[in-house]
Amino acid sequence: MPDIVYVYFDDTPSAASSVKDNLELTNRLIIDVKREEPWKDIISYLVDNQTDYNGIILDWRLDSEPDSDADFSTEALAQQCRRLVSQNLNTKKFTKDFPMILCSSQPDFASLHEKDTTSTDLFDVICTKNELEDKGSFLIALVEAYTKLNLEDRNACDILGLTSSKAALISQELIRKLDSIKNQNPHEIISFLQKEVLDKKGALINEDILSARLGVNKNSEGWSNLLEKISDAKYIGLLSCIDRWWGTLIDEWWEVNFEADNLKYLAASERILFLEAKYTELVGKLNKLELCEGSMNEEFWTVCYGSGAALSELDGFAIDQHLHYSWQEREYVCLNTAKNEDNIDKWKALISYENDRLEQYFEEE
Amino acid sequence: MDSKNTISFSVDAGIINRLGLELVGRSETAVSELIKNSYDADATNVEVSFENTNTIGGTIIIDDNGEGMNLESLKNGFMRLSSTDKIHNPISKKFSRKKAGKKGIGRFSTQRLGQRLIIITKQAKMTEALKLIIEWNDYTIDCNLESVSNKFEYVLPIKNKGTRLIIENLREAWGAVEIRRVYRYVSDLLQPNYISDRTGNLNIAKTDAENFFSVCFKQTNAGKSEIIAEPTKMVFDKAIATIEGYVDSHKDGYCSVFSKKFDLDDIIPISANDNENSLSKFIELKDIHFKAYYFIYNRKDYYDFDSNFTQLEYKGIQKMASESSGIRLYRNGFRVLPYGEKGNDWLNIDGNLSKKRYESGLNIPFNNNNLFGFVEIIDQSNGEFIFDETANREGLIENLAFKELNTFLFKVLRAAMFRIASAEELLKAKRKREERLKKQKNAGFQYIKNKIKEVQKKIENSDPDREEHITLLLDSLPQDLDNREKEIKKEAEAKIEELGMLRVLAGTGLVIGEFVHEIEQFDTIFQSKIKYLKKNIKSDLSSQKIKELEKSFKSYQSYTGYFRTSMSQNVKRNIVPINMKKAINDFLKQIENNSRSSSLEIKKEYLKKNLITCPMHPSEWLSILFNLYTNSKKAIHRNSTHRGKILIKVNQKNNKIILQFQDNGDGIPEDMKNRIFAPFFTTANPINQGGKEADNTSGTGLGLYIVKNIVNSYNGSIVLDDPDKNYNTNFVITLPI
Repeated sequence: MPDIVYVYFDDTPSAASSVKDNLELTNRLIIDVKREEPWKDIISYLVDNQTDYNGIILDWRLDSEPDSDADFSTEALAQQCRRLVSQNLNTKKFTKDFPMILCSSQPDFASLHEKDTTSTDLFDVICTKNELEDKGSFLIALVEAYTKLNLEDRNACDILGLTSSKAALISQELIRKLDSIKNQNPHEIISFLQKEVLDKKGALINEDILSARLGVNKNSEGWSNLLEKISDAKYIGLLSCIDRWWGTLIDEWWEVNFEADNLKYLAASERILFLEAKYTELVGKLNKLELCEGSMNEEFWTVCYGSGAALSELDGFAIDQHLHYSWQEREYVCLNTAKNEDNIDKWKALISYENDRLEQYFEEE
Repeated sequence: MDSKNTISFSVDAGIINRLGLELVGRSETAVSELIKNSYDADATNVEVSFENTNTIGGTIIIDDNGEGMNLESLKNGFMRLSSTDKIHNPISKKFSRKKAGKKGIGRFSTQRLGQRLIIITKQAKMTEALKLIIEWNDYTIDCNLESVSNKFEYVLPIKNKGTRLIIENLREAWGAVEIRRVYRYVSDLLQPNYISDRTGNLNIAKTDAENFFSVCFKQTNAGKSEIIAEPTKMVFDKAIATIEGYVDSHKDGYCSVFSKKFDLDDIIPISANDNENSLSKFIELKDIHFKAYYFIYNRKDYYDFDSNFTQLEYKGIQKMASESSGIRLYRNGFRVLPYGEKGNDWLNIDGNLSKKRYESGLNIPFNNNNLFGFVEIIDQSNGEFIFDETANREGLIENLAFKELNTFLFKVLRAAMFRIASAEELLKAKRKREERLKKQKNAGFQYIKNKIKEVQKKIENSDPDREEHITLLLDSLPQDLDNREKEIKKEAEAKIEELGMLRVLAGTGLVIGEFVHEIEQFDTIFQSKIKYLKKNIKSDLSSQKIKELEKSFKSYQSYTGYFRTSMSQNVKRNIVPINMKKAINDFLKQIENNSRSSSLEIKKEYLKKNLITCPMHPSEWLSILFNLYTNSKKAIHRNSTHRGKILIKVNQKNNKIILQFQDNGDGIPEDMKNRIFAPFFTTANPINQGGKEADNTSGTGLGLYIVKNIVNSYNGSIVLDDPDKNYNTNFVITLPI
């Protein structure tokens, strides 16, 4: 029973209908497509009909159509909306905060937009229309997150979906930080959660990194079975449609269940031996991750940020990142990726001291 | 006849000498007049033999297959001075030829040439031939003309009809030079005889209905015979290029293009279909032979003029072209009309092929007017006919074989056209280089400046001969400046020509840019709809189809992605240093779907950490890589036995970036190595006129030319080098940092 409504302003009906069709396949979303209207009219519509929708989707090209009435930039509109949410009680127009999505037909839209950092903070999702079509579950999770934050008092543990005992095992700085912003607008919290917690390796890790740390290939027959065994470590906080696991909770699980060294110091083959010993039903169903070209160490702890190959930190080349918080970990690339500069748009550059090390690998004449 | 009071004129026999030796000035005129007589007699073949003529006293035999003479026509024609025959009958009976021979000179020509004449002549309806012997020395002065009698008799015939003149005891010697000079006198009558040896040898009945006229000159010395001059040898030898095409009995097509002037000797396979990746046989078409001689008019510098080929003959060919150029068709020895008739363009040469020529910017003419060609079909082996003539005998029925023939010939001509154009460009470039080298000695303005400096010095030093030098300088200055102006004009013209070619391409580029921009929105919509269907379709078969659709679409996107990137980069005018790794990585990503569907294995090796070029235009790298890639793909498909492999290696040495682009395709033959960079040179399968090819530049022969241009403009170079093991071709591009 569709219960979540996104109102979608787009001036190309054909493109909008494609997005609508695809998203409504989730059977929970309703996409209410509207043509663009003059500035003031959109704001007043949004204010007047707050109860009719849960989120907003905006087409970035609203102001570039020659016959459009829109005489503003989409960013300015979003800016205004956010402002109207956060203003003090007297002038506040919106009674609740809501997700805002920015999309476009242009193929390389996201990377073009990245350069404009002010507006990236206004939107929860910035992507192409094709990409948006695949984000149905995320759009739903967004609304659920906003709803929760709009209605209830919340603290860090509520947001992160952790019991107090589990919360003691994860980064305390993260807990403190979340508690310090818990009373801000839902958008601030969700934005922070997305950018600094879910999207950054560290406190939380994704499935690829999990697979590297367990030494087991995701394609193994027994993978989903194995995941169930560590379900306690899975992230179930806001936006948990994104699959993540708590790094420290995995370590804890290993320590509790296996008479072995720290997971990090074991080679992949050793890890599998332990797993198969304990979970006999997984024997033969766990495929080991292989070393990629140029690597020598099987103590996989991360994946190459460019190619996705399992990588140990000894073999990896650290990339140049600004890590804002202590719970965030540095990313690495493997030798081949560093040498060939594959996907360099993603990782940009190695950290300076790694350049000399890389130079050695070019010595062949 | 005198009677009582009347007097009539009488004629002294010496008049023969007056009208012969004294009137007919040159011996060449004499022989050519006799040949004209054969022409007027509706002969199609004349054989002129010069036997033992290196010294005086030899023999000339003129043998034709004309209508011949009987006793009546001999009496009233040949033997009657000032005969009125040519007045009463100015047009020949059979072929309606306008009579070429001048009034009544013929007989005296024979007297001019030799002392004795034997005429053997026969008309078709006669059972025996008539033989007449004339001793010109009998016609001495001081006797009556009508008193000299000449013996005649009937003899066994040696042919059905025609006339043989045997002129013995020649008054002069005849060498090859003199014989050729005679040939030239009659050349404006000559039409090419296209029937090749092949059909000639087949003893297929030839009708004499074909109105051609060919003359063959032979010289015999001490028993050995040699052909000195015949139509094809004389005229077509001088063609700029000879094009031949064959479809053999296995239905495989080939063509060969030969040009001595342009240093061209290529064999190109011709495929029945338009698939650029494989050759296919024809379905019905076989045993076809095609030959065409290609001439360019108004470009005298492409011909070598000498005693064997004069400017007069050159002009004659152009005149001949207006009547007998084009591609004729012969089937089992018979000419099939209307193919190749004046105004008939059955192969669409003046239409479609010319359009293609213009669009591709080729600088050579290529119309029916430039071609003397014939197609020979022999299709009556085994009693089965592949072709069929229409009921009214005006052409062939357009069955599959005929359509294939059309396709084959169009492709042969098209391939030949491109090769010739390419070779001509090479020759032009070579000549330009040579000229430039020559001119460098007297390099334009510097040369003039030097002269002025010299004179100034003399003035300064108050040299005694300074006045003289000033005069010399002033005298030569106008001419020197004029020369330089001409040079500059020529250089400008060459640049304009090149600009013209590039402008055509630029126009195409703009159109593509517009198009790509317009279709951008459809990319998104298609992707979206495919995604939706994938999620919704449950049935296995439909699901399968959607997956195939998605795969095709992704492949299609690799092209639109390439164009989009290329176009967006083109808009930025500035040049930036290029990170080779990124450029190649991005390029490989673009063609990923494309290469995967062709199961190509692409390897890359970056041998240095920093591979950054001098400032360049980003889109030009995309062009270079794309061109090399498409060439490699084609080469790989032609060598379809192995899995296709491409290797891209980049290194940096001595302040240069070195890029190697290797593939394991069919390699480049030695003799083509320095031609592949010339414009219009292509080894791609020629496409038929209806074929869809408006899309990419493949097959225009400009890819490598453009790549070379780009690389050279940055002071870099592109050459072929030895490939690594397991690869067959290696393009090496070097660029400064």
